[in-house]
Amino acid sequence: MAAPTADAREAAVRATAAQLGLVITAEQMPGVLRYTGLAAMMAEQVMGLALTPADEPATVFLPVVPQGDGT
Amino acid sequence: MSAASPATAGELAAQVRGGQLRAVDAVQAALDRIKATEPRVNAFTAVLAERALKRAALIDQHERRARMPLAGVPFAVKNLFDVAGLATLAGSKIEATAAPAARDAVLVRRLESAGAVLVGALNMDEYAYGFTTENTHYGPTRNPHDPTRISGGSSGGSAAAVAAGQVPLTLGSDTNGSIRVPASLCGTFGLKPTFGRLPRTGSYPFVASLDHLGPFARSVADLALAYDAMQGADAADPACAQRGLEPVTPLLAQGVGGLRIGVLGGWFRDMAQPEALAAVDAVAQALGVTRLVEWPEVARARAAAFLITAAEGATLHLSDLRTRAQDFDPMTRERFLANALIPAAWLVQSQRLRHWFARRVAKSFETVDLLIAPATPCVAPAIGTEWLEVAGQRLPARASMGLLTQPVSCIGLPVATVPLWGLSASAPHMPIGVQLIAAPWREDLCLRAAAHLEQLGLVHAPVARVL
Repeated sequence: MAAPTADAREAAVRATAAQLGLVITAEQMPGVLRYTGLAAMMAEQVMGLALTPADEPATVFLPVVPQGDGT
Repeated sequence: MSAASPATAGELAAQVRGGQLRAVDAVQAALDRIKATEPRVNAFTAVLAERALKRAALIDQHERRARMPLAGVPFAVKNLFDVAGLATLAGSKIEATAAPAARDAVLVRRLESAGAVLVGALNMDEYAYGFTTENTHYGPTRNPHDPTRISGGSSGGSAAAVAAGQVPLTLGSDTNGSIRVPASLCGTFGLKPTFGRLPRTGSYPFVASLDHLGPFARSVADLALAYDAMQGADAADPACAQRGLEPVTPLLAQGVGGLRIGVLGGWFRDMAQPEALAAVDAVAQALGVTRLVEWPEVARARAAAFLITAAEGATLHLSDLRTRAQDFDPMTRERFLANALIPAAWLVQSQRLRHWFARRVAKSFETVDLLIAPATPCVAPAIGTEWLEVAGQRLPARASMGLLTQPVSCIGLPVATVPLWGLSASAPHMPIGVQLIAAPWREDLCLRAAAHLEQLGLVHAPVARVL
């Protein structure tokens, strides 16, 4: 997959930010682009390891028992 | 020993229990030391003199005083712990206007039940997102061994307060290295217990998937005393394991005989500067260790920790990022904004990789009991340092301080950090820490090895000459 251009990255940042209700000012944009770039580099590492369907996420939900329930 | 000279927690408690020292005098001595040293250290964001002296007076009158393991020991906590009557800042300006905490955090209550006396709250990186405690709102916490250098973070105030002899015991949190990094850079002992061992109830979260709490001290015995006093399940923290108490203090003198110990290779040597390698090699030599152990895919595990932290941390603050981004510390603001945009697939895959990595590392503990690795790539850099040279690469200094701790906390292993000295050619006055890492729930092995190294005189945590 080809790396997105700088313009495409900025457009993606603006679109996702708008979806989340975030306003990124012109002053903040260079920093935000730098850090989204860093996250993308980390993601390349993470997405680059082949996992199997048996590799479950390391998050476990614990059902919450009502207080006073003796069962 | 007078109350005016900084003593260890164990020494102070023994004197208070025996009636040679009043808790009130022990606490007043700590308050005096804090007042004298704060202008050079800036570890505290709140000093609770009135509360502390009242509590100390109660200890002096307490019928159980002679049985309290931490009788009269002054301690302080990173300002993400709830303290009744104070807003829980978590290093931020935003939380300064939040309602004051109604009660103390569970770990504060447990330490006070053991006789310790809370004297204040400590500086940190905003929302625990940093490794340097260069906090713009409250000022940087300076390294007591060289005030031109960082204290490390995010629990920088916790490490600096101990190194400066302000208090013998503090608490911090560790999501990616925030106990081990400042312990390494300030030359204190630190313990990051197994994920789920100590309850986080009443502390401000950073990344619920990765947050741990733990103590800093100037001796291994003090770490163990505090850790033992804080153990126990708490249903209010869903990540806290339902385990019984497993006290380590009685086991400290057992040494390392019979333990299978290895040095972590690969990433953990590649990303370390010469002083960090020298520290690990000195510990290995003292323990008679020649075996090298390599974990698979450490760089990917570190990347997973980075992304989980980024996504969970930013989501926690999404509401404030929408409405008052300008009130965040410039050191964190654009990182939080960027991290809020992370795709779900990256987060879920990171959590899957984390589990994959934990299973492979568990395999390595079938043939070894303890592993040794550097805690930081180098000694504390100067405040304001932007770049670091590691493994021939120019890396951002602030994020890189956690390169060697992130892969370990990512899978929740217990770690004791021990300080060594005189190993940096350019900064021989500065300490550097070594991680002693065990399988889950084996804090006893980490602390036994730490106590053995302390006994040998290889690792120690002197009070800095700040006055």
